[in-house]
Amino acid sequence: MKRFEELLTFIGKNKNKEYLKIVIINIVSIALLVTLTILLKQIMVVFIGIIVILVVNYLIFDSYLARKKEILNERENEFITMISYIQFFLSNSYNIYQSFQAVSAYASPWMEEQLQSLILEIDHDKSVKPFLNFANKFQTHSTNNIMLSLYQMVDEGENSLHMMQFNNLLLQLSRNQQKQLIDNKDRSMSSLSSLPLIGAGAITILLTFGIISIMGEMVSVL
Amino acid sequence: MNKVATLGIFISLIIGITCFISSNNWIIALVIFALGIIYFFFLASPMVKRYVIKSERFHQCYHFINTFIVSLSIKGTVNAAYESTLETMGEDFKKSIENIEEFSSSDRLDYLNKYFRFHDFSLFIDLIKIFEDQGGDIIDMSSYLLEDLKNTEEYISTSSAINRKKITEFVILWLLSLSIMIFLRFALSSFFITISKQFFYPLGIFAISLFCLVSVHLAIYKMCKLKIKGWDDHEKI
Repeated sequence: MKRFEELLTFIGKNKNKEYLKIVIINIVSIALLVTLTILLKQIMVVFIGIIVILVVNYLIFDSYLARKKEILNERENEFITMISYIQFFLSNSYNIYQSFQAVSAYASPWMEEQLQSLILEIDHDKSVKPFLNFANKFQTHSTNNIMLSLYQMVDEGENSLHMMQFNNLLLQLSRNQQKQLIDNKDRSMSSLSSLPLIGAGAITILLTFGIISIMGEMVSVL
Repeated sequence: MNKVATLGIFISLIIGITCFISSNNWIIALVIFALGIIYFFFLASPMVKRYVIKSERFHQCYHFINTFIVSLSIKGTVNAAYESTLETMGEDFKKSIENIEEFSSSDRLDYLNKYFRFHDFSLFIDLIKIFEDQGGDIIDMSSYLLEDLKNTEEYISTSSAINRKKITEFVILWLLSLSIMIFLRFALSSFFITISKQFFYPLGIFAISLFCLVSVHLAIYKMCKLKIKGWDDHEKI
């Protein structure tokens, strides 16, 4: 229950409103099911009704999870965008600290908040910790690498070697994203090949069933 | 009539005829044919059109940004870079921006942000603004942007190659499956008359033909799925 409430808070939903929505949907569905069962007097209606109610509940919970995934993806994408802005500023003679400050102007409210807290943390703690804390707000491993690379530049100076290393990480991130998209496309299109085979199987089953039923009729006549 | 609609009539005709030959029931065949036509005219055709517009627009965006950055690094001003980039763009693009001739270069770029609704283009606009404010080496500043654009362009061309290969496989496999349906009808001609009179057989053929149409929809849907950051498929073009 606590995890569900955390999920609702994460996706920005009011938990009381959502509970009320779920309860109303379930009460209406159960009332409809009871009415249909009384009217039709069929046990099958109860089974189908229960399945439908379960599916509706599953879809409601799944929509929350899908929204969470969407938000996390948006944040990952924004991280990459933000890092590319930092690259603009770094190549324009800004230092890391100034880049973090300048990039806030292009960030969403959530990212701006995170950047402000990163800047505040850097003010009080000159170790790698603020950078890692920031990276931990994202899920991909590459965010850690990029933040570590930025810290190295703060710690050891923004020399050309570190800049090159940082640029390479950034380019690697873009290449990985592209590779992932191509793999997904290939997998998605490959799954299509099974559909004609299912069709052929269905044709064979249909004909076999037809022939067997004819043979059955012939046997019963004999 | 566009290519997709013509192809749709052809595909619906093939599925409808196969359905008629195997079931000997023209009502089922007509229903399948009509469903196919409705699907291709009202769903598939707009879907493919959006896909073509999206990929063509990205090609234009890729070309625009590349040329603009190279021109900017040579000419040094946004206005001159815009003018020389415009000269290299195709007629379609020039026509679509005819109404912004009077605008200033930064307003033109802002307008183009609505035309090229890609994340990379927004990044490009901000990059140009930063360049205008603070100067710097534009080639150096845009290295990530150019690489990301190149990667997306590669993704589009690889996706299109995958589409061609997998759709060919899909069509061949469905043609084989449908020909099995026709061959069995003639090979088992003595059984066929009796089988076709059984209540489940025409329903089965209808279900298989419907499944064939659904799988065509899935193929077109997956083919048209192109994830380019920033572009919303539901937004009006």
